[in-house]
Amino acid sequence: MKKHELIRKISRIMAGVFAAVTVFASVSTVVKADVIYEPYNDDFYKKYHAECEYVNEKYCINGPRGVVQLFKSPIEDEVITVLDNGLNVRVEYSYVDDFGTKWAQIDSVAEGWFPMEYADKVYSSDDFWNDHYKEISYEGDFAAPGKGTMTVLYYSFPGDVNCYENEVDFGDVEIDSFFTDDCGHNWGHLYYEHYGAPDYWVCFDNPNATYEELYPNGTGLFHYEMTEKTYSDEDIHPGKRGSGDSNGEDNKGNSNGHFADNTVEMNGIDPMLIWVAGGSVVFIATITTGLLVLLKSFRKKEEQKRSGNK
Amino acid sequence: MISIYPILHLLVDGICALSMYSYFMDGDKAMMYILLYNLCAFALQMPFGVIADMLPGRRRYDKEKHCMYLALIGVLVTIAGSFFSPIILGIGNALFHVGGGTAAVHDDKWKNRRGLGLGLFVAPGALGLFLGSTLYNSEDADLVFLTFRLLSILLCLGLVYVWYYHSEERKVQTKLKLFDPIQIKKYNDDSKKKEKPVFAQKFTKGQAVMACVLCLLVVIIRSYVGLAVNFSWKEGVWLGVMSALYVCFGKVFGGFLGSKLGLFWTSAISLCAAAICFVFADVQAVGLLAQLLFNMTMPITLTLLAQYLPGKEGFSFGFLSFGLFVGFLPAFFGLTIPNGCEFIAGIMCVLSLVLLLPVLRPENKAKSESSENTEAK
Repeated sequence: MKKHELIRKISRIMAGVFAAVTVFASVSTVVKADVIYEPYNDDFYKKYHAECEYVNEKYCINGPRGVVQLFKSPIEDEVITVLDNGLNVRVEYSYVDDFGTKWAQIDSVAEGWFPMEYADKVYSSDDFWNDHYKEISYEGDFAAPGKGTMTVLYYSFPGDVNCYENEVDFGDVEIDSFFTDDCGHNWGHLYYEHYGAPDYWVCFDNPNATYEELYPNGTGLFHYEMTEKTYSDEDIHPGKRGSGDSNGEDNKGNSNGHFADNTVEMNGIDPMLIWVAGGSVVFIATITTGLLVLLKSFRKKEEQKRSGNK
Repeated sequence: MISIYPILHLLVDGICALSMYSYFMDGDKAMMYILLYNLCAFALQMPFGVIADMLPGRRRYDKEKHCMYLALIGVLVTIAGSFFSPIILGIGNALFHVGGGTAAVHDDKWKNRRGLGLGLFVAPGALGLFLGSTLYNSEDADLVFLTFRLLSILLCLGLVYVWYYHSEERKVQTKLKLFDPIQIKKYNDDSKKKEKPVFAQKFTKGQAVMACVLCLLVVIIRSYVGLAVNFSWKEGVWLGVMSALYVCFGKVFGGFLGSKLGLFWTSAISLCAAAICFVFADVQAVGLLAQLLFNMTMPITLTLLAQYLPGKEGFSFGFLSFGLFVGFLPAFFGLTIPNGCEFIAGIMCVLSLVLLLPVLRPENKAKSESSENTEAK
């Protein structure tokens, strides 16, 4: 086979392989089909949903100086609102940016993102269901406190510190789960068909008793108490390095063979690095100039030698 | 012999990535180590390139030999550096690149292949780097490391073997031909033809300086864009493999098309197409194509500068590698292109083409002038 025929054949094969790979790549985008809530109004989520992790847990805002800024996205420094410390929010999704900062997405109070480290996880009804699913009964173990409408205290889960007053028509509401706690209190979970399945637990023994009345010695369940944390001097903002661990899996190498997954934030550059980089560039350029001058003189001598020989 | 260098390139870059991620990327000094490694591996290629040009001997035989020695020393120093320090690792890498790269430049010149050999040489580096950075935390990382080192040493031995075989063959041929005066004349004429670099055109000092500056700027832009653009779809090992393959084949295609269509058309087509692709780079396949097209200019700039600096092939290769280091610095200090702004890379492509045009023109002019002269004769 002639050389040019071989080259043509190789080029055809390569073009074919690349066409096939390109078509395959174009159809190989990750298809995500699940039934969990997805915040489709969130442009950032829409673009980076594959990198976001479903959380769906309750957190209590606990940021520096008593507030936390809610940003439009982990990469846009646009403040949507300010959340006060102590506010309970449901974190729907999390996202880890290139600097290792973990961001939390909420859409209950307002839609936006805030650094996850500015909130503490609190014991929630989800945790309660997970911890006690074996002890929860779905049979009618005990009767409701009454048949008509009465005022009761709602709890998110048996043993919750927080409660709020509400009117319940026990003739209308369905009681779908039953639970007896360690102190022997009987609890019923109210199910409202039209509201979905929010967590409304009522202590059937004493529907108007507060946490202190029910558990004078505490419940033994984890209860969140907000404590003041220490933070770095500079607040975390989108597009800047946080104090979290860097994951940087995607940018390890590049087309030129550099290592660059640990880029430095402009505000926090170690001056030593600048000195080393700048000084070395100048030093290497100077050395090279010297070597080029030397090369020129070598070549000149060589030429003279050759012309002398001739 | 020249085909062994690309495989060695993959292994050397793989060893460097494995060592950096396994040993030198933890702790407070990680940033300093990254900087020092890149400094030694890329910036030091410039003085090493001049040293390669200073080595005695003007014949192809001598140049090939010197390049081979440099590359061999580079491989051995890299292996040594992988045990001790990122600085030694970088120096080894730089020596290997200068040796292999200069050999590829010479080979391309003698065979009149405008960038084909260079494209083949530079391409596997991205793959080696990807393999090293992916496999360093695998269960069999030690085995991979050992395999890379052993294969490198074996290939070095292979290189030496091929070299001596080649050298002996040449001697025998020369001896045979020396007996016949007609054959001697024919042999001498042939070897003169073969050994005369095909595109050793004369350029003025001003043209050469302009070529240096413009090619350097193009390389700095390419290096920066390669680091600063973060594609939103680039996640997971599979897409990492795809990305590395596209970068690798981009360089090969660049060399291949450069030798077929010429440097001007290859640059114009690849950079215009890359600019369009970068605008729609949030689509995975288009983003991958953009990477392929953008990297096609790598062998082009290397070949182009080697044309402008005849007799300084080592320096031209090292000088542009120095540009890679300069382009790395802004991204290292945090100046990246934000997600969704890939069109900036498209603008950079257009800018690269604008910068390349003045230095691509003389080649065409000279070509047309030489063809006119031939026709006149």
